Amino acid sequence: MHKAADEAQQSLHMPIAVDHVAEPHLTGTVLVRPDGVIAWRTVQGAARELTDALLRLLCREP
Amino acid sequence: MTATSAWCTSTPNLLGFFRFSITGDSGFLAMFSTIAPDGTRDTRVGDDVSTERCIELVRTALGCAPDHPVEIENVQQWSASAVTAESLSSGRVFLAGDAAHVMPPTGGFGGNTGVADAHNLAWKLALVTKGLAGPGLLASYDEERRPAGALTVEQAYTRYVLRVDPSLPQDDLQPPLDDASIELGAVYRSGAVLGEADVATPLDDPRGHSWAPGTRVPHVPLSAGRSTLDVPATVSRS
Ligand SMILES: Cc1cc2nc3c(=O)[nH]c(=O)nc-3n(C[C@H](O)[C@H](O)[C@H](O)COP(=O)(O)OP(=O)(O)OC[C@H]3O[C@@H](n4cnc5c(N)ncnc54)[C@H](O)[C@@H]3O)c2cc1C
Repeated sequence: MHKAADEAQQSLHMPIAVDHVAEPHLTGTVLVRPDGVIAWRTVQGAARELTDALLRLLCREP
Repeated sequence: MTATSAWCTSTPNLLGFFRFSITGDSGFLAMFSTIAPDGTRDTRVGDDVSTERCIELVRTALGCAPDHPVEIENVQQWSASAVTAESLSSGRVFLAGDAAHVMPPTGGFGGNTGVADAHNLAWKLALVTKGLAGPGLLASYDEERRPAGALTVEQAYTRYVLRVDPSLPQDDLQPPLDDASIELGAVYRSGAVLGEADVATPLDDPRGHSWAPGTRVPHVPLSAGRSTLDVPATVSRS
């Protein structure tokens, strides 16, 4: 897992769904809490298209 | 749970709203005020809740004939308040719902805000009691839900003043915000969120895709009728 995500998860003191995406044009890591709230992310200021693509990748969708 | 639809009623004589079950065979009339011929509004509707008076109010609100059959099954009294508790937790005790915040029904936010409290608290309690998260996680309940509740109380009050009783104090009246953002767009800042939410407003439009820490994962349609909102409960740690 992404080292920064690991550290973030430890500092939050809770298990959170974590995933890391690495694609040629896209890289990012998100921590999503069980209630669907974004607890942390590495994708900064992403455009809507980018975040949608990231979400689909996270969800293993084509 | 019964699905209902709301129907506002505003006649020259009264201000209120109906809530009917989708099947249309039951419902209730919530009364805000009667209106005197000179336009004066009187919110003390509860002073007379005799069956005759209630039937008269229902007929007036419906705008139906004076002999239209109406049966009163139950009468409940309520008062419009706008208050948020100073703290939502103390030791092992947590306040949620109307125990944490009461607001006028204008906007229909009260029950929804209570559900959001429970949604926020339940998983935290579960993780802590199972030993999967530290007790510090529970502190984030008050940090996250009290500001959200207080904002919603203010918004309900604004709607009450503007729609029902303009004679109430308006000095600190908050400007009305978007309904969907109030219900689903709380931006949480707490120990259970890392990094500043990079949204300037206190609410995040749930139809947008800000993707800021402290906001909900945006809805993006997936295959087979699924949404990204279905995913957090099922994604496992990679
Ligand atoms: C006219 C009107 C219209 C509304 N319309 C809407 C709407 O459209 N949408 C919306 O979201 N919200 C609406 N609300 C608000 C909503 O009804 C409340 O926010 C919601 O019911 C609060 O739920 P609760 O479980 O927190 O509290 P409550 O519903 O008050 O439940 C508390 C329960 O605890 C019980 N209780 C109290 N003391 C004790 C005790 N000592 N021991 C055991 N039990 C006890 C009570 O009997 C009650 O059953 C409306 C409110 C009103 C008055």
